[in-house]
Amino acid sequence: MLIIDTYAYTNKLKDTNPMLKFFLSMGLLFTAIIIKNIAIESFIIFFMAFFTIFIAKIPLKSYFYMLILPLSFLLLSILGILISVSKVNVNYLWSIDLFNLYFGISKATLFTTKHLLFRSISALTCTYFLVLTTPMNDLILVFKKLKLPIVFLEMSILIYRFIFIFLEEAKEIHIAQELRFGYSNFKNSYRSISSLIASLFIRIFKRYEDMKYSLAMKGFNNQFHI
Amino acid sequence: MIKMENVMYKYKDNTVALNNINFDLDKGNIIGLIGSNGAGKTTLILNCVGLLKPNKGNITFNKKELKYNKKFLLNLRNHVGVVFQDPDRQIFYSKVYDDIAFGPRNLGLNESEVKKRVDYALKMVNAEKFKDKPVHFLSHGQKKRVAIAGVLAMDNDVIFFDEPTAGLDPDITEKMIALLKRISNEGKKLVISSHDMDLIYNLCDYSYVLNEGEIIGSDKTNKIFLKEDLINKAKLKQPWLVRLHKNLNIPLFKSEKALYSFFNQRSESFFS
Repeated sequence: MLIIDTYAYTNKLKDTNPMLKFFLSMGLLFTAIIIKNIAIESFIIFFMAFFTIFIAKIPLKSYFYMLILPLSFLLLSILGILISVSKVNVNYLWSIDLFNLYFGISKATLFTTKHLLFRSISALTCTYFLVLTTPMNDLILVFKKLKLPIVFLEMSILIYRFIFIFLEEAKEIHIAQELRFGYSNFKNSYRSISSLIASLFIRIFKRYEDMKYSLAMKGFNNQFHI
Repeated sequence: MIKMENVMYKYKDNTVALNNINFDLDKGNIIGLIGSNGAGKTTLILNCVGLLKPNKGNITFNKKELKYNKKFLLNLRNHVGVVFQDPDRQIFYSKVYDDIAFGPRNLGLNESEVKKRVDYALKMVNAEKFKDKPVHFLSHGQKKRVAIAGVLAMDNDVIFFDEPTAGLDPDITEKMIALLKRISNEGKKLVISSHDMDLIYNLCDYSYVLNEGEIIGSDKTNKIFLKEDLINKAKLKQPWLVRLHKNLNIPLFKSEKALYSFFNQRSESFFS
């Protein structure tokens, strides 16, 4: 249902020790954050992408599609850092003059931007490597071994399970609406989406009631064992 | 075991959901609870296991009146389990093993005992093949089996099944019937609520007929389905084997197999 989740369970590295994958990706991620060196950062990007595409066999096309979304956010925010504004024209490599203000790129901003870009992309490829090769349930076992707080583990387990229940319900309602032209024009879509949210809300409460019953039947004592 | 006497249950908006219910689990080993949609089958089950509290009447468990404190209910639910209709509302983990182990772990069992119980439950429902798949990749029928395994692992003496075959295809329904028989052969008492008359006729030895919150009849299964007026009053239909018996004047058979073997024998003697 979620493409990243599906790949996590079907890639060629799914049975590799999750601890190893976790420390590889997190190790490289922290290296990229701490060391400001474009050569090392590009190496990490290359290394992680290579592992994800050629060893874990995630299709190249979907890998790029998955990268596009965060990258577009990244590029937009980087533009804001790249271009600086000042009243005097100093140190600009390139600038334009608008209403007595100088908009331009200086050596310093170019330097920061370059590093930021490489660092973000390397962090992104590290994270993608982890989530695309490690099923969530394995990841939770890693968290458990690392002795993260129980509350955090319980939350991860329940949220992970409930994301899919929630999506399934939403999908069901959406299909039912679409088949009856609920999204045929702007006005209808507007109305449909509001009733979708409302009925999701009601269904979730009904589910909660039923789940309370089955929790009680299984002797739930305020702890989800992991 | 569990016994209900003159139980009345009203919803918060004062509509009467159950009225004057007398229900006894000692009457049979597989007990059928039949009724149309909205007859009160699920509400009756919820009252039986202390999830709802009746407004009138009393419920006893092993001759002791039901108390609604934590200790009593824990003990009750140690003996009684419920498999609800929608598996998605009973599965809390996306790992099949962990979900089945949830109940035993709540009982405070050690991990080796938990594993024994989970393996046993997985084997009973034939879920070993998909036990390593995440729950959201499973089909409805597979999820249903996981939900049943989760209750089986609790090792209760009595298990209530609320509409066990609703929404299942014929093949999986057959497998579900076989599974229910297997569970019963393990010495557990079953209560099956359903409006699938053939299922109840095939499985149950004693049945209660529920209509608009009241029990309008109860008897041995092979007897109760002969009472056509009663079945019609409950907005139900007689099982096809009973209808054959009534309309074609052939003996009453308990199962499809028995019917076929009867006629096969007759035709053999006819041809020879």
